[in-house]
Order: sequence, then structure tokens, then C-alpha cells
Amino acid sequence: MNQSRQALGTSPQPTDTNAPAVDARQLSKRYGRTWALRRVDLRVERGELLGLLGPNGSGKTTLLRILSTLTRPTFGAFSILGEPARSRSAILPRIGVLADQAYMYGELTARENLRFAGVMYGLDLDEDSLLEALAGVGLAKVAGREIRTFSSGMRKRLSLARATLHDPELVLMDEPYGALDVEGMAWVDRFVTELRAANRAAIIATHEVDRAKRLCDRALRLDAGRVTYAGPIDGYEVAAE
Amino acid sequence: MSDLRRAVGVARKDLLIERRSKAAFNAMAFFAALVLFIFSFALGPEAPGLSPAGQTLLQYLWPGLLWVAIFFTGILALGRSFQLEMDSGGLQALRLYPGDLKAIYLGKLAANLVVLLAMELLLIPLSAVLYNVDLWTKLPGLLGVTVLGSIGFVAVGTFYAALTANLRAREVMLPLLLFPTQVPIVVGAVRATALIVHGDPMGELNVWLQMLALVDVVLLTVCTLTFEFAIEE
Repeated sequence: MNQSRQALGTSPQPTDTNAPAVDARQLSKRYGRTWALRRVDLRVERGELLGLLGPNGSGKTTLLRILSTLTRPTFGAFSILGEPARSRSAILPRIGVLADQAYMYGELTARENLRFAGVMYGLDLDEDSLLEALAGVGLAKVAGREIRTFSSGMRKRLSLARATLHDPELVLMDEPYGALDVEGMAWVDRFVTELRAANRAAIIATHEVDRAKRLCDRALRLDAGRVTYAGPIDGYEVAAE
Repeated sequence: MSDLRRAVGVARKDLLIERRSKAAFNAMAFFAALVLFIFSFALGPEAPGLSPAGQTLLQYLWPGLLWVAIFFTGILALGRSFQLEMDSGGLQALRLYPGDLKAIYLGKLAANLVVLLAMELLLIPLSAVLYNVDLWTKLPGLLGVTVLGSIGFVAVGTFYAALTANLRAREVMLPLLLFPTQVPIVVGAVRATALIVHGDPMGELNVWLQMLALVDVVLLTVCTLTFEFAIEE
């Protein structure tokens, strides 16, 4: 949400500012004979936070991978911020992805990892911007340390900084609370709250149902690839977990 | 312009990691030295050569042995190039960045080329000393052949390293896929090197250099245009 970071002209202008953040119809994905997703309909408005819930193996990660253009659906269609799924080059500058893995290089320092991400996002980041981004996740003091010395929680925080470096309009988060201590979880909570304040949309796949109920507007529950609940988060029954 | 910047970013990142870890270079240097010593022991330092110029067998075969050592050691650098992406969570991270995927290929290619050329700078003088080959007056020509041969090798090697990065048997698959495509590079590079070192009475060198350059252009073009399919799931 840092407005001082200057993009170098790679981010296309939004084609439709009224389009929903995510609009997916009948998304299905099959791996071999196993259906990981079955006819999932999903709509997330701008500024809305969706909790993606469900047990392990229910298809949450598959759904996020499809929406982040990493995997093609077997059938079904979707658009992100008004851009059709095939427009990878239009979608990726506008979304941030916090994956279950850190996607960082152990031999590089935290600052170098972020600088590399900045270059890849087409951003012109000076030292102050990098430090500001690191300070945002509480890592400014270890900016010069190689991240192979980081704990899992510190890597997760750095991933969070990387995923939002380019001020995305939609953030896809896969298990953001995984491997985090209490303080780390509070960082994620604060980050999600800031997303809401900035009118950004997010999909948060998590097993932390209580946190999702506190932070999200709506819930989508998957079970064996099927939607078993879609509606307001207040109506989501914890007992269903 | 942004894609060029991304390619430079990928190359700088890979070279910085290599400078810190030296994982590829150290392995390549030791392996290259081993290959040279094994050839030396196997063929014998004093075995007579096949030409009437009074060369030893090692001196006569030096161009071929040099390129065998370059290709075998180069495989190590290519494998390492995408292994470090797998160590950091896979190629997905690179695919999540916007921009043309060709930038990733060109950045990886540049980094691999720099590592391979650095290793060759060590390997060529070492092998010349070990096999008693007089190179010093022929170094400029040799440098040109080395660069041309290395570009073709790294162009296809980087492509196949990406293609096999997700495979369990990648250490086997990479050379299996790569070496058949290297036949024109091997033939061209060895012939051109031999002409430079042993003499070129028929003026054939330019033909071989042109062929190497042409093969480089074709391989670079094909691999650049098809790279995105190599890293797709």
C-alpha cells in the first residue's frame, strides 16, 4: 500500500474499474483420475475479504493456483479484476500471492531478495523503499542477513513483504498463519486489516477459522473439491470444520 | 525495456548466489581437472600422435578432449541453475512475476554462460600446460571458438535444464536430452579448435566458425521462443 514505489510502466491500466476482483464460473480441475475442484463458482468484490476454508486436500491450494494463473483449470472460466484468465501479463502485475512456500533465495539477504522481487515486478526501489517494506513486516533490523539463517516465521513475513511490494489490488494468501508465532500471526492480522482499509480484496485460505471469522466478510468452504458453504462469514459454523 | 531489466535481474541474482555459494564453479573446476587427468593417464603423456608433425597423442587429440571436458563440466552448471530455484520453492515463484517468461530464460542463459566461460578460462590454460600444447599465439582465435561453442551449448542446456527441473531423474534426463542436440556444436567446435591449434592449410576455419554462429542463432531463437512451454505445468 505504499504509494511511493514507482512502477516502471509494466502495469497495465485497469480495463474495468467496476469489475469484481474475482469472478469464476464452474472452475474444475482434474489431476489424473482425481477431481481436485468440481464446478466451483466464486465471486469476490473489490474491498472484500474472503475466507477460503476447508480440511486438508479440499482444493483450497488448487483454487488459489488457478486464480494466480499458475495452473489451468480443466474446465470453467474466470476473470481477475476484469481481465480474462488468459491475460497473464495483465493479471500478474495486479495481484499478490503469498504461497505456502517462501519462494526466497537462502544465499541472498532479505534486502537482496526484495530488491530482486522489485526488479521482477518492474519497480524502481531505492534503499529507503526496501527498508520501509522490510520495516512493514518487522524485518528492518535483519535486512542485511542471509535468509538461510531466518526462522520459518521470518521467511513468511518476508514473503508477505514480497507479495505486496507492488501494491496489488488482490492478494491471494495460502495458509498465511502457517509456521508463525503469536507475534507473526498478529503481523498478518494487521496486514489484512490494512488491506481492508485500502479497499483491497483478498482470498485467505486458512485453517484458523476464528481469525477468518474476525477478519473476513464472507466464507467459502470446500470439501473434496466441492463448495459446501458460500455466504457471510457470520453464518459459517465452526462445527463444520 | 522492462523485460531486459528482468533478464539482467535474473542473471545478477544467479551470479550473486553463485559467487556466495560457489556450488557450481567449485564442482566444475574439480570435475574438469579430473577429466583432464584421467585422459592424460589413459592415453599416456608420451604416446605418439597420428599426424606426421611429431605430436604426442594427447596434443593431437587436445581439441576433442577439451570440448569433452567443457561439455561434461558444463552439465553441472546447467543442473545447478534451476536447482537453486527448486531449493527456493520451485519455478512457480518466477512464473508469478509479470512480464515475458523469455526474460527468465535469457537471464538464466547469461548467468550460465558467464559461469561456463569463467570455468573455460581456467580449463584451457590448465589443459594446455598439462598436455604441453602451445596455445599462446593462438589464444584470440581460440577464444572466439570457445565463445561460439559455449553459446550453443548453454542455449539448449538452459532450455532442457528448465524442462527437466521438476523431474525426479533430472540428472539422467538432462544429458540424455542435451547431448544429441549438441552434435553440430561438438563437430563445429572441435574442428575449428583443431584447425586453430594444428594449422589451417586449406582455409576451412571460417566455414566452421560461420556454421557455429548459424547454429547458435537457430538454437537461441528456437529455445527463446519455446521456453514458456518448458516451464509450464
